[in-house]
Amino acid sequence: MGILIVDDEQDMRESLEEFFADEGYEVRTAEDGAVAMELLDGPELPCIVILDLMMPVLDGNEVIDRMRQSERLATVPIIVTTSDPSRAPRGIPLMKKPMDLRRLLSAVQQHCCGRAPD
Amino acid sequence: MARWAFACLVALLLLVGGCASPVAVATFNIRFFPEPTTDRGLVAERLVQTGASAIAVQEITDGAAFEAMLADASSRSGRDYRLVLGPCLDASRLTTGVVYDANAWRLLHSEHYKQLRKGEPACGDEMPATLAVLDDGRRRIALLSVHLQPFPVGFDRRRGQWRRVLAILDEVRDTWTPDAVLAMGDYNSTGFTTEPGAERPFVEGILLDTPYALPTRELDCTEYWQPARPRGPYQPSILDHMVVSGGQWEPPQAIGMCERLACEPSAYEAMDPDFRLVSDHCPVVMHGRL
Repeated sequence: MGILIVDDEQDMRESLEEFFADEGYEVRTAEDGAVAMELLDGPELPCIVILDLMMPVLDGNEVIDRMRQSERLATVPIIVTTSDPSRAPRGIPLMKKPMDLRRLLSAVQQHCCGRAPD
Repeated sequence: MARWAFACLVALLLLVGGCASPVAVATFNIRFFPEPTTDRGLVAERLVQTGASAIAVQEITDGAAFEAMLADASSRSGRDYRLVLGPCLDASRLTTGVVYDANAWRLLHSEHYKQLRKGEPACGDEMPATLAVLDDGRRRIALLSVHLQPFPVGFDRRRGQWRRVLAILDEVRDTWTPDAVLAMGDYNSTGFTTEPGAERPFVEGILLDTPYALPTRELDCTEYWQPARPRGPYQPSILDHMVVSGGQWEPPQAIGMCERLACEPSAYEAMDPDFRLVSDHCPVVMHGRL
């Protein structure tokens, strides 16, 4: 699956998807936590989940809880992107919003191997 | 002979009479330290490069990681950096602190402020502040590390926080009679030069008729941000300030990335690596005499 981007802001999702696709990564996106959990139930696991916290339907904290409770998903790396760290659970790497693409790319490269761009 | 005797007398007077001697202080917001992309060695290097013996720091998310980085900074510099870590790390995951060189200062007193406005919940959604009173046997300095409510929605809150910061400084001056008292940190005053337009008059107004000066008022920038995502240019802004009473101080300088970019906007492709590896803020340093 490559990178899973979970963010309710459409502009943010599309920007990140385009950027990482240009960098040679396979990217999937989800507009809320519920859609993200459906994708995570699929056959392929992402190399990393880039997760917003404040989302409708199922928020980022609930996604983290469910992933931690799942034997299959517990070891999938997560990066939480937020401007309000007080809402983030402990033990999960944080990156400050607004996101800078180079910073995010560096973090992703620690977990994911991109394919060569076409 | 008379000239030599006069020189000796002056030297003796300077020594015994407590002549003002040099000191350097700094403030540094180290973005969500440590983020996954933070180069901790480079952060240590940037702290050392301030040349300051007392540094207000903001946005610590991991106290143990910060202590380890300070140990690295100490080994690089010959200083003995210690940390007064602020409160609320469990609740807010973000706190302030004061770093000091134990070869230069003894920690006389420290205090935590879990909220900057009375009536606000302790360790709520406002950043805590941290006070350290330092003494070297001849001089005493009090540093309050602050991180005010973020721009743009927090202007009303920041007004209340500014009042509280000045009230804390008053209390500290009365209680500890330091030679200088400083409140340094991220005041989140992007509007200091632009929007919202009322912020700069408010800040300058609240300092009128007080013993406090704002030496950072003439800085061109202290931080960079990227208003147009995702590949837009980075813009300089002013978020970090020093409020001071006592001592003789030279104009502060924003060093590192801000100095290298000369506080000019930067194209995405040309952005300084410190933005990614260290912080979106620059260390702000002030030299003086106490």
